Amino acid sequence: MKGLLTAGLVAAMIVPTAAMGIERFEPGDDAYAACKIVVLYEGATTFSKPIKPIKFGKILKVRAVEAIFELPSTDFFSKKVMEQEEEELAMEQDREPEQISPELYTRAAWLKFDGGYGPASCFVSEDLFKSQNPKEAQKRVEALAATKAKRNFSEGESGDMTAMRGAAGKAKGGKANYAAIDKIISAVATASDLSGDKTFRRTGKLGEFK
Amino acid sequence: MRFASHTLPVAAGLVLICSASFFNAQAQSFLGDMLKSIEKEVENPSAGSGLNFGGASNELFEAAENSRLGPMGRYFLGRKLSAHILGNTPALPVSHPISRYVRRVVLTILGSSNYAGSYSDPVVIVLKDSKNINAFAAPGNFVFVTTGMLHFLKNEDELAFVIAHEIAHIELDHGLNAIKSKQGADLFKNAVGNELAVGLDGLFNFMEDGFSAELEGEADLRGAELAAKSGYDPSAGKFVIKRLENKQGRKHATGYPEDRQANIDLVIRSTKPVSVSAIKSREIRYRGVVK
Repeated sequence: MKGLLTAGLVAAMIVPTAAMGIERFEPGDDAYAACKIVVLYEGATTFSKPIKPIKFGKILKVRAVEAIFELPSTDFFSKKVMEQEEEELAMEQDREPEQISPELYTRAAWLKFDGGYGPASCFVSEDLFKSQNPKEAQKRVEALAATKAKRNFSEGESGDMTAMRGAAGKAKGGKANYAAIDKIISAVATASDLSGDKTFRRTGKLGEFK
Repeated sequence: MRFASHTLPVAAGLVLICSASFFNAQAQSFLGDMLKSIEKEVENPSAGSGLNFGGASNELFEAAENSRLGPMGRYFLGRKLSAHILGNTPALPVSHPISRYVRRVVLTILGSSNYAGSYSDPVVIVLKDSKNINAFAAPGNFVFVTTGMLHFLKNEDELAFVIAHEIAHIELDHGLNAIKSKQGADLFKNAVGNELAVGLDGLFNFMEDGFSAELEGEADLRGAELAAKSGYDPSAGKFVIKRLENKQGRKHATGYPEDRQANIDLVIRSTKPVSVSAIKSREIRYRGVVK
């Protein structure tokens, strides 16, 4: 029973820690910039005018939360899942189910700061920020890929996989080629073309031009 | 349906075991406090966290903490998965006109997404694979499309739907949730005496077998919404799905909803029609790039 309880506690921690990878913020909270560079925009959309870049690690005070959305029904923090659990619990305890607070099943896609709007997916709490360094982040990823899996992709292995559920068919995974992906990542970093991107949207009647 | 019909109830049941008032409380801070107490207990069992875990192994607690990735962790996870993909299939250069074009479609869709920011610039990779019709994505905004898919599609709006479906998987965190779900179930199994099998195995299983029908349906719906929000015609998604379903000899993993097009219809009904001339002009530029 002790093992079961322990597993329950740990599983409970694993499952709900990051609903959609976006933490919940409220006005007055400190938000830590956790992307290499976070651009603050004039409005709560990347289609608005960029104002200034914020460097990794900068702490900003949340003034307001914008673009609130409800978590999808498959998320462990969704309204649907929480209502089901509350109903079952209420039945077990012979009482009426309580209403689930919308704060629990909603998140903000954008945060308003004094200098503009930033995407919430680039900001984390102080607690999570402690793990946002390359050494720790890679350690965690490697731990996720750890050894006791029935079949994992260690650096030397190759295999057959349909990655992230493609639109169709299979993608083949092979021995990790970090040189290739790092080359692409650095090429991407220097290939930014904001004005070309805007022209693309304008001529296609997309984004802010739709 | 591993995720939706098996693991989720197991995890949800475990949550109930843990705390009767869990969902009525401030869940995240509750779990944060619990995590700290557990960490304290593991580091110094005599300190008295108020929780009694007896001889619970550090491995369990480390697994819980390791699943909290944040933007940087997601980036490294995406980089790792991408490295394996590129270990088998070469990519077009980033400067190639097709790569640049697909990247612009990706950036347009991401602009409408709730996951607009990622640790690093979004990485869009066109794989030189004309035999396989495929597109996929990894956490951290890594998006892949095969040349086979580009030749299969007929216009930019169809490409936008395919990409939006993949971005929906990223936005909804389906990949990492797959790992977490697998971990939760495996930790449970371990506690009751079965083999511990944590790790990316869960995600790779999903790669091979596909996500559950529920998740795919969710990605179809959200994908169509993202495409429409960006200005694309969501009905293009119906044509893509129909042709994919009709394609003979396709090794399509099972696990899609029975009527995928119904989700797209929901979006079409709630969206203002897109002008035919806009669709046509985008089709012309698509054909100009993808010949």
